[in-house]
Amino acid sequence: MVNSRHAIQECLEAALGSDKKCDLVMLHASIGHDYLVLADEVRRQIPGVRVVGASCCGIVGCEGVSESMKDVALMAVRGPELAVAHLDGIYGHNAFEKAAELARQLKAQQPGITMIHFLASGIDIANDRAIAGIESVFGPDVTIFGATSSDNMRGVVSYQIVDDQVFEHGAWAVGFADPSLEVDTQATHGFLAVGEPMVVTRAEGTRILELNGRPAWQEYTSLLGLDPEKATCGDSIPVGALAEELPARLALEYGNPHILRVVTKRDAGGAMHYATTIREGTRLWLTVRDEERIFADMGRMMAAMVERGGGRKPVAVFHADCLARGRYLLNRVMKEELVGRMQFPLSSDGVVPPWLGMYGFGEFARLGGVNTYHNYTTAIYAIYRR
Amino acid sequence: MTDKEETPALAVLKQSYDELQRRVTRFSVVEQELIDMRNRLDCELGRFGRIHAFSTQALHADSDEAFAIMVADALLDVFELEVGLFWLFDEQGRLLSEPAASSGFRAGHASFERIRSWLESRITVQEDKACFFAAERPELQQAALDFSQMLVGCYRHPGGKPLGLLITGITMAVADFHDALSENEAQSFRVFTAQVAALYANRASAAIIRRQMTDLHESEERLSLAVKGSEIGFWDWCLDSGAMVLSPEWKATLGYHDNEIVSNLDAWHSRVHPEDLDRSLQLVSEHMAGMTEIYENLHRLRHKEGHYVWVMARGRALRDEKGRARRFVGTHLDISRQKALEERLREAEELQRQARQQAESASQAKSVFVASMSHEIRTPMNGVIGMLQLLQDTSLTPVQSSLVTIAEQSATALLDIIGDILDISKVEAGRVEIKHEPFDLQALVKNVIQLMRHRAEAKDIQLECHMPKQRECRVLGDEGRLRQVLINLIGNAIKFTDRGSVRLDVKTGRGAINRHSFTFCITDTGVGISPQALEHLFEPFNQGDSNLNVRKYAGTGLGLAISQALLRLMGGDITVASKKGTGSEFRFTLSLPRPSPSTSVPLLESDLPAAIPERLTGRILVVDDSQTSRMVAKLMMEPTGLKVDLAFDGEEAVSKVKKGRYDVILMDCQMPGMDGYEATRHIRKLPGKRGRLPVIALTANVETGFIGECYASGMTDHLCKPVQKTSLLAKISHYLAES
Repeated sequence: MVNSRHAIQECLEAALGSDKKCDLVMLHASIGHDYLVLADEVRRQIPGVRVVGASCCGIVGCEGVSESMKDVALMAVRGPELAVAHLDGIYGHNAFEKAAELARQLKAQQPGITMIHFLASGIDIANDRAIAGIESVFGPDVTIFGATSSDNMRGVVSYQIVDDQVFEHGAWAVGFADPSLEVDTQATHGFLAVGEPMVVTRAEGTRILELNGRPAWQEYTSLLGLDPEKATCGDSIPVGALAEELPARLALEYGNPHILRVVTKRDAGGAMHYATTIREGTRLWLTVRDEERIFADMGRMMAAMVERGGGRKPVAVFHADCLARGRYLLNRVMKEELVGRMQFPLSSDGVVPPWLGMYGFGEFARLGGVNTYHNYTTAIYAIYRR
Repeated sequence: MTDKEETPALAVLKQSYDELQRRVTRFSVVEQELIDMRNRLDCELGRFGRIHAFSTQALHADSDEAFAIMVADALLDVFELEVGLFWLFDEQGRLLSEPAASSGFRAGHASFERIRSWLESRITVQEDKACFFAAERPELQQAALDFSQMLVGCYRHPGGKPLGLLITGITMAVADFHDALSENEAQSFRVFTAQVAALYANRASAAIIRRQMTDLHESEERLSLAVKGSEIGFWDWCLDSGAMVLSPEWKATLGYHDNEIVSNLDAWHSRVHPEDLDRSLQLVSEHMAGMTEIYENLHRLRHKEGHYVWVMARGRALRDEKGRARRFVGTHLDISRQKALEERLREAEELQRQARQQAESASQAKSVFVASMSHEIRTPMNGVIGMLQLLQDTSLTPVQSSLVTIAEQSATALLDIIGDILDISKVEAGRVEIKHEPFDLQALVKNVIQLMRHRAEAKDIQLECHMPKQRECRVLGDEGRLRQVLINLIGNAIKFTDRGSVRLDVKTGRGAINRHSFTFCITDTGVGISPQALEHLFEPFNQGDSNLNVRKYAGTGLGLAISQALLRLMGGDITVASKKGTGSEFRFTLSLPRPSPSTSVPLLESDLPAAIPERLTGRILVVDDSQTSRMVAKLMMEPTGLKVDLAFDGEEAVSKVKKGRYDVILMDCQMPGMDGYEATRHIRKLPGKRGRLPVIALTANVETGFIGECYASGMTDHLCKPVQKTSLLAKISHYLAES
């Protein structure tokens, strides 16, 4: 549906029917939508409801996956043990402070928060610092899950929606304080690092200025066989996942010795925007996709999650997927197959639980018991009732 | 291996490794290109899927507005751009001021007026039936449009006239999120435009179909209402399967609900009145055999409540190519009410007939009464007038003579009144018959003038007559009735004129083939008639002005009514023009047929008696049951020398004729015992001269029928009572001379 108001009306009808009572609506919509109209219609139909959302490259719902310019999906949440916080102006250099401030807002509302759905701009942000900022308030045991917003892989701008506002460098967080709820998170990618690593020879915060002693963008694209002058992030993201080496203990859990990173933006001067802080001397491998491994790792992850679920079925599932794992990675049939493989194990008698997924720039999921930022992964957040 | 030897080998190995890595990354890029291509194909498939979905949805658009909105929304849905516009042209081929529908368009993108102006400049240069173009940023910015890319498709009428535009595009604000439009998208856009054009054309056709469907529906509705209103039932009998359909109205006619009777032939057959069954089956059989074009059967069917209702069934068999009846379909109409109405109508007609009969009887009785009265009055009047005439022949003093004259005139006036009443009675009863016998009109007019002249002279007024001189003017008509009219009108004119003149003009007009046309105009210089009186002039018993001294002029007031009625019966009409104090003009025109040349016209005998010899010789037998009448006749004739014998009834008359010798018999008609007719028949049977004796009817019945009966019984001539002495002697003289 192309008309934003009509689209969200259909979504609300499908999600809530005639009983539109809820406290929070979380929505994701692709870049062709008018986000203010979407939020306005939700608030018009459900007076007093809080609305949070993000731009994305596609959505995943119970009905399946879609990656057009006009997709929208939502999850309606009811309950008093919720906290919603947001702020604007979060970047790579202030991610810790801003995230900490966000966490404080949440804690002020609900001290007993045990898990936090976090969403921030996917461009020019230090997600590791953001995690640290939140943990500085709630401690490392709070589970942070969520994603970073995206555009349609242009690396131009992404949007965050909070009630009647739309931000380009904002962040919002929803804290769940219901003690009967818990979330199980895991991420998987299935890529293989190849060749000799590039070495970060100069970096500032989240920006890589030089690789192998050469301007970062030039070195990076030349290794990818792209024209540095003409290539965009849209060209490099699908083929240019960068891999950092994981410690052996984490590699075992992850099923892969590398964690992936993405270049979300490049400056006119050739600096590459990384999604976490990057230190000079870090070795970065180029990667290749391995479809068999992608499916195998997905199966392995879902089996692990089902095992951890102990026979329970989730009451809701949030899902963050890397925009490079959608239409840019797999054809439609394989993509739907992959989504099916993640949804089926969590389904009950074939009925997919309430599911809200999006294709963003990055994903948050715990790894080795630690809140971790991922790229190029499928991250599943299954909410269980204890 | 030495270091020197190892170094080149390592370098070669490293070079190969780098090459391998480049190939791996190159492989990734190529693989990505393949994925992208696959994705584009998916997108393309998706677009066509959405075009299909749109087409399906648009087919059900219930209005042009809804269709336009669907098109604009579909532009965004299919091509995933920012703005969709659906813009129509007017009849003159100019774009309307605003698009019919827009989607994603926001204020600030550009004004519709500016877009329209730019579009018109682009579209008019295109000459092909459908045109497409993709506008890029430079052109759009030059046109001051805040668009980065735009696809425009124009679809046209087969004659070339542009019908509508489809526009989709992206504004500068979101340009970074979109790739340049590819040829694939352009191709899809062409397909989409063609699809919208087809749907648009279909809508026009659909509108026609919808209108026809609506008309058909309304027609069916009207038919249904008419059927329900008319309570016509239907039956449909499939002869092959034996299945029969009986409509709810068919069943309702017999008092049943639809589900109370099973629709089959027995439902009809078992309810036909026993007296109608054989005939009904015969009619069905004849129609099936093709002996009748339409099956029509008026028969009775048993109602649920036990009584029978009259039903008119009409139907027609549908036949195959060999003429065999395959299906028999028809209607069934309860005509019990019509039957009841018919019965009531018949009763009403019977009552009417009886009433008419009664009226006719009454009229007949009235006529008989009037005729009887006429007879009964004329008989004593015959005595009165006769005696007065005889008295006038005696020696009287001038005063006595004057008194006798007045008495005679009064008696004659009374007779005229009786005559008029008799005539109007016959007219009202419709019993006047107009004869079509040859006569000479000129002679008639001359005769009438002769008759009326003495009246005019008595009042010292002039009576003039102007008629084209013709040697002979023979026509077919009722001479007696025309004379009556002329005498009446001229008589009236003389009566109401004290000085001056009365004039009769007869003019010949243009006659039709074998007909003469005559206009009669009677003009007087009398008292004239007021306009108010003219309105009622021809009504019976009306004597013109109420303030006129009618007693002075006397009369019944029936003359004009009788004249008008007689003229109408003769095919003419009468008009009158009059001015109070200056006189009147009565005018009528008659178209009378010419008799064939061979037809002889009897010479008109003047009513004036011919010259009577002072002395007559002969034996006269007077037969009358009235002693007075016998005496009057005897006293009138004996002074002339005639021998008069008397008989008081027919039987005595016949007896006397057998024994005696007579020259003329004067025979009264109505007498007790043997009447005059019977007596005449007996006399005519007598042998020799006796059987040929002139028998002159002497009757107080002046109606044509009675006079005709006189001649039918064998009488020679007739005289009406009261008898004028001169007339009597003239007749006697005439027949004596013959004998």
